Amino acid sequence: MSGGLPRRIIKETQRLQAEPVPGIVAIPDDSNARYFHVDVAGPKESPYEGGVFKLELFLPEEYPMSAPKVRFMTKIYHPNIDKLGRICLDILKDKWSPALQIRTVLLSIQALLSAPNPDDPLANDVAEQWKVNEAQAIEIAKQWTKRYAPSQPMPS
Amino acid sequence: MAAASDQPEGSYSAGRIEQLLRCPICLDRFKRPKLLPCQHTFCKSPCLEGLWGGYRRTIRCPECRMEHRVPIGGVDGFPNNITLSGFLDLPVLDTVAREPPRATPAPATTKCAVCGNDTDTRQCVHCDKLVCPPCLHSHMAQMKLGIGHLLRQLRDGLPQLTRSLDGATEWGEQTARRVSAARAAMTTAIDAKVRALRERQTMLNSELDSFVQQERRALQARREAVELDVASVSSFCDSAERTLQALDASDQADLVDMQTQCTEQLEKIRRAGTTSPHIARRVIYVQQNADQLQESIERFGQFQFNTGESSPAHARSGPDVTISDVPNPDIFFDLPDYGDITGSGTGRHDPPFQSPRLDLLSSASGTSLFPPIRQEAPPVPRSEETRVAATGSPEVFFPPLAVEPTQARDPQAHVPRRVRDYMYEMDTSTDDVRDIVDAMRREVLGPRRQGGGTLFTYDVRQVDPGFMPGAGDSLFEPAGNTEPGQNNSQSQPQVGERVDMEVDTAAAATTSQSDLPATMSRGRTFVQPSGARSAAVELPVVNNQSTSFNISADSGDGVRRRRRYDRDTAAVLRVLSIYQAKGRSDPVCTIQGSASCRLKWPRGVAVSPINDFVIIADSNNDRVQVFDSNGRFVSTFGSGGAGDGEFDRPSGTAVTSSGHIVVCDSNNHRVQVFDRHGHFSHKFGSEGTDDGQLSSPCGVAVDTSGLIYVCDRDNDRVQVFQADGAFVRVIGRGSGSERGRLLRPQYVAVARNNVVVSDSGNHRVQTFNAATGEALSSFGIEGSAAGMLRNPKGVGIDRDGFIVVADSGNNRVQVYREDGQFVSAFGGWGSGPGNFRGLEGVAVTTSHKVFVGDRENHRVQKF
Repeated sequence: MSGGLPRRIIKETQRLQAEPVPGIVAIPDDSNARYFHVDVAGPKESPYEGGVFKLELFLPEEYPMSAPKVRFMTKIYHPNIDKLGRICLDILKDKWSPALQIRTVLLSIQALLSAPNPDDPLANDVAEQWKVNEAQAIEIAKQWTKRYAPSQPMPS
Repeated sequence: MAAASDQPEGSYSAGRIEQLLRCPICLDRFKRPKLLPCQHTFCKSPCLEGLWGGYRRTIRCPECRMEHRVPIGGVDGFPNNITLSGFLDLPVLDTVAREPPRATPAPATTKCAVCGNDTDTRQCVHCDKLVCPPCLHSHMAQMKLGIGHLLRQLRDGLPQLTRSLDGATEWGEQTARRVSAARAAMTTAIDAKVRALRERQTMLNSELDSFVQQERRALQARREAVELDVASVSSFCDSAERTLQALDASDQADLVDMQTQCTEQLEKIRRAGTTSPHIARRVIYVQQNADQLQESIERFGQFQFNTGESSPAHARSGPDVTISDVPNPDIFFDLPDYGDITGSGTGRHDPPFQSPRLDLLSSASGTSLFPPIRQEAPPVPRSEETRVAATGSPEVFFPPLAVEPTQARDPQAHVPRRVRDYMYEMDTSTDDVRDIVDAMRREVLGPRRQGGGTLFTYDVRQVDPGFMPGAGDSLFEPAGNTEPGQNNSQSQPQVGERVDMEVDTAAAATTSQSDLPATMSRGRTFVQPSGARSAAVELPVVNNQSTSFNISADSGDGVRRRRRYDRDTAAVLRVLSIYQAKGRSDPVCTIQGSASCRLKWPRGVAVSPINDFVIIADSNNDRVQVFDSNGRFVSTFGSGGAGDGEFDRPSGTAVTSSGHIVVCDSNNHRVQVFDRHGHFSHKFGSEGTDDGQLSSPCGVAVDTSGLIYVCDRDNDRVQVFQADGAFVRVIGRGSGSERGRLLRPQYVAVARNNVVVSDSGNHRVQTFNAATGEALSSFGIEGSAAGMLRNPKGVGIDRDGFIVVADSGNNRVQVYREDGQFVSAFGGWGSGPGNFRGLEGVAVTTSHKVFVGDRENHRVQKF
C-alpha cells in the first residue's frame, strides 16, 4: 500500500465506530479499509420505514478531495435511485466538498429517502410514476421495502 | 481517543475547544491555519494545497462553497489565521488528557483493528487504533522505517542548510559593500556642505576686509580735511593778527571785513567742534535662522536601512550625490533640502494593486455582461421607397425597409458591429436575387427577431439608376427618381443611417416555407404597402453573367468599401436564411415511434449520410430505433443488458460514411458499432479514467475518415478512436473552465477538421482542431438572452459550418455560425409542436433539416 491510510480516514472510521449515526451502521471491510459496508434504516414516516438497506461506500484515492462512491446494494423503489443502485445526489457529484465526511454523506442519503425528489430523476420511470400517481408510487415503495429490505436486528 | 470525543454543546471545555481547533478537511488540529476571505480556516497543507491542486486560479471554500481567487503565491498567499495560531500555540491543557475516555479502555479484548483477531489489544500511541501486540510491533517497525526514511531526508537536506550558510556570507559581503557605498555618499555630501560653508566664510571675510578698507579711507579723508582746516585757520589767524596790527581804527571797511572773516573762521571752528565725533560704523556678525540652521545641521542626513526587498527608485536624492551610482541602494543616504526641518526621506512604493480579473468575475458570478436583446425596435415612422431604374430590365424591389435610430442597438458581443459597404451586381436569376437579399442580410449586424419577421440592419444608400458594373461609384446615391407621391426628402436613408430590412414572410402573401417571400422573384415588382416602418429599396439588374456579387455600401464613416462575394458565399447566405426561418412554423414531422414501439426518453439523434435515415437512441427502452427521413419506422435493434448488442441507457448515436451505426452505451461505459442493418460489429471502451476508458460517455460523432469522437462526459474530455476502437488521442486539457478545458461535456459533432463540443458545465460550445486537439474557439456564456446558453447539450454541424446547439437549460435550439456568431433561436418549453421538454441530441441533414431529441415528450422533432 502506498504510504498507508490517510489520517483522516482513520479518524473518521474511529469516530463512526465510536459514535454511530442513528439509523446508520458503517463498517470498514476487513481487507480494504477504504471500503465500507453500510446499513441504512429506512427513515420514519417514509415508505421505507422498517426496512434496512444495504449500501456500499468506497473512498477513492483522492478522498477527501473527491467524493466517496456510494451505491445501494438493496433494491429500492425511489425516484433518485436507479435499478443498479446508483444515487443521484448532488453532494456525491459536483457539490462535493472536502468539509463533508462519510457521516454527512450517509445522513444525506437517509434524508433523500425521506424526501424523494422526482423533479431531478436519474433516467428513471420511477420518477414519472411518482409524479403521475404519488400514492401508488409510495405503495410500491412500501412493497419493495417489505420484499427486498426486510428488517433485521441492527448490529450493535 | 479522548481528544476525538465530542463534548456537550455549549460547554466551555478543553474538549470543545479542541474540536474548534480542528481542520474540517483533515479532521486534525490546524497546521499553519490559513484564513479564506469567507472567514473559514483550513490548514495550508495538505488541506488547502490539495484543494488547490497546484494550478487552479480559484478555489471553492469547502464550508460555504464561495469561490475565491487564489493569490499569486498559491494558497500560501492567503493570510494566516493569527488568532487561531495563538490558541494552537498554547500548551495542550491537562484537562484534555484527563477527559474520560469514551471508548473501552485498552485491556479489553476487542478486535484488533489491523488483523481482526480477538485478542487483547493495546492502543497505538501513533494512530489511536486498537491493535494487538504483534500488529503493534509490525506497525512500530514500519514507523521505524519511516523514521529512517525521514533521517535520510534530513541528511539530504543538509546541503541545503550549507547553501543557506553561503547565502549568509554573501549577505555579509553585500552589507559591507553597501555600507562603504553609503559612507562614501555621506562623506561626499557633507564635504560638499563643509566646502560651501568655508566659501561663505571666505566671502564674509572679504566683505569684512573691504569694509575695513572703506572705513580706513574714510578716516584718512577726514583726517586730511581736518588738518587742512587747522592749517587754514591757523594761517588765517597769523595773517589776521598781522593785518590787525597794521590796521588802525580808522580803516572801517577793512576792520569790518576782518571781523567777518574772523566770524567765518569761528563758525568753521565751532562747526568742527559741534560736529559729533565721527563714529565708527558698527560691524557685528549676524546669523539669520541660526537656530533653524543649527537644527538642520544636527539632523543633517540619515541612513535608511531597508530589509531584503529592493527599494524602488528613490525620488529625493540630494543634488550632490548620485544615488544611481550605488548599485543596490538598500542603504542609502537621504539628503534634505537646505532649510528642511524634518530631513526625512520619502517612503517606499507599494506594489501596485492588482485589479480583479473581469473574466473570472463574470464566469464566477454568472451574471450576463450583455444586456438582453432588445425585443421591440422603436419605430421611426417613415414611409419611403427608393427605386432605381434598372438599365433596361425590370426593376426589382426589395422587401420593405424599416428605419431605425442608431441608438437602438443591442450589443451582442459576437455580432459584428460594422456594416461593410457593399455594392451590388445583380444577376437576374431567382436564386441570385435571393442570394443578393441574403448578401445584404449577411452584411448586417445580425438578425434579430422582431415580431414575426427577422430584422436586419445595415447602412444603405440610394441606388443610382445609372449604375454600371465596374463603375467606381457606389450604387447608393441620392436618387431623384422616387415614386411620385412619396416624400422626397424622406425617401432616401441618409448616409450612415441604420436601416432595417424586414423580411417578413407573413406579410407577403405567397410565402413558402423557406426563406424568401415569393415576391423576390425576378421580373416582378412589388410594392409592399408602406407600413409605419417600411420602405423599399430596389437594385438595378445589370449583369446577367456575373458569377460574383460585389457588395459595397457606406459603413457610416463616409468611407465606401466594396466586397466581392462569390457564389459560394452567396449559397452560405442562403443557408443562413434557412436557419433563420426555422421555428416559425410547426416542425416538419414528429417521430414518436410506432404504437407498439414508442420512443421513451430519446436522447442521441443521428442522420445517415447515405440514405438520410434517422437513428435515434431510445434511451429508456435500451434500444436504438431507425426511421426514414419522413418519420416512418424502419427498424429497431438492441435490448437491455451488458452483452454485445445490449444497451444500458444508450445516449449518443452517429453514422459513419459507410452506414455503420455507432452507439454510445452510456451506463455500460462503452461504445458499440453495428452495421447498417443493426447487427453487432464490435465494441470498445470500459469504465475508468485512463486513456481509452470512458465514464458515462454521452455524445458520439464520426468524421469522414472513420475516426470516432466520443464525448467522455464524466471524465471531462473527448476521446478519439479509430474505427476499430483503437485509442488515438484525447481532446480537452482536463476539467475546468479555462479555454481548452471541459466541464461535463455532453455531445460532440465533427465536420471538416473541427470538433465541436457542448461544454455543458461551462455553458458554452468549444471548437477544437480535430487533428491536433488544439482549442480553436469557444462561444456562449451562461444566460438566457439570445446567443447565451445554459447547459447546452446536443450539437450538430452542417457542411456550411453552421452549428446547431440544443440549449437545454433554456429549452430552445440555437443556431450559430462556426465563428460563434449567433444566427437564430427557436423553440420553447412545452409539449406542443415546436416546443421541447428536455433537449438532448441534435442532428443536421445535408438539406439543413434539423432533428431534435425531445426527451420528456418522448419524441424527435424535425425542423
